[in-house]
Amino acid sequence: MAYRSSAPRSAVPIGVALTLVAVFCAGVGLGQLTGLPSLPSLWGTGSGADGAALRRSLPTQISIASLGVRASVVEVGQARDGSIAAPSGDPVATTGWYRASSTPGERGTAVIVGHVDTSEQPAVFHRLRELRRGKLIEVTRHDRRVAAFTVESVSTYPKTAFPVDDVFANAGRPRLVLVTCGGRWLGGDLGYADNVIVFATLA
Amino acid sequence: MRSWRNLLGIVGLFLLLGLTLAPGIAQAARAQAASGVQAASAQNVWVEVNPSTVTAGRHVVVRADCGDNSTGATVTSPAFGPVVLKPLDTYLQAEALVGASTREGGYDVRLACRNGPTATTTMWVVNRPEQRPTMGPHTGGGFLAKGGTGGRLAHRLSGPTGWLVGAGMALTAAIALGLVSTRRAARATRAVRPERPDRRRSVT
Repeated sequence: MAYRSSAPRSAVPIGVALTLVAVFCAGVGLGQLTGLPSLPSLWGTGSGADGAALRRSLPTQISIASLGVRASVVEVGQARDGSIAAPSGDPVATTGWYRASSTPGERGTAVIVGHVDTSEQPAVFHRLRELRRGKLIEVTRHDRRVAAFTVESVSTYPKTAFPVDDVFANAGRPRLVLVTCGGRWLGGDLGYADNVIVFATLA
Repeated sequence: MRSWRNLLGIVGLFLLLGLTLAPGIAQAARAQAASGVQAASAQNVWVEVNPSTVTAGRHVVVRADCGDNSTGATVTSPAFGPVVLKPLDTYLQAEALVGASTREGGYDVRLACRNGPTATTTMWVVNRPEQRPTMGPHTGGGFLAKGGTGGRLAHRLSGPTGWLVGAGMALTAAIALGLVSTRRAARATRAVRPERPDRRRSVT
């Protein structure tokens, strides 16, 4: 018994298109997983060609593709005990830029803090200590420019030994410091014993 | 066969396209912002201080655009006296030192271009050492320490996982469509009498 083995004409282009879409999506997924560097010449980065600093502009969004983090950035000040205040709002989708630091992209250091968890669930920075040297952090500012930073180091410090001088040092390229909690859970006023600190420089 | 090679080539091209565009897609919003190169028109004369909020005793970088930047400019301020700006790239730039004894407050920074135009900006001096935090933020509630794991589903699906899930779904749909179509074609032509004299050859 003989029969045509080719599919009806209408289904073939749809099938091919779906396959190509699948391949494209796989490419994007793989590309993001491996953290390929961006194409600065095509899309442009926030900094000038020589990594020159940006003007002052308040941050609005932060994105860390390798961790799947996408969150808004609000302003925070100092808490009464002298610590950097934690941001209010949804802890899963909100981070806080410390208002007495540079804005992201400016010369100096911009400090952004975020919750690692609440009492009931993980929060926006719950995977922050998985960051590694070379990973990308992008901060969108009010002027709609995006400052891109590459991670230099990830360290843990006791909360009471916060490396103030290192964090606020102003030398060379603009920097970004991300802070969250980690280490042992002590409870009480202190909560977690340590801070996890990510140092990154403007790409 | 040549058509298979072409197909493989196209598939490979799409995969390569996806890989190459992956970071670009992640930065999709940036496409608008990227066009904002800081090019000032001839009418737009400006001066800026970076950082604009600074501790007494620190250096700042003053940058300006006079339209015609070949002749240079001078910047004056109660916070750091006259500074001569020199051409750097397409702008004028110089470093200035804010004296350690400068009081807190806002200070005018005035630009005087040698070809005429002027501009002003404000610089803020703060005494940061007193304002520096003494401790890291309290940004935890204990959930993870008490054995909690993982993240919300929405959290997980953002980023690379979401794209790979989408790829899997599209591929499954393509395969399913292919299977359904060939079965339907086979069923339809089985109804035709087998000994057709002008039977068509399938093209592969």
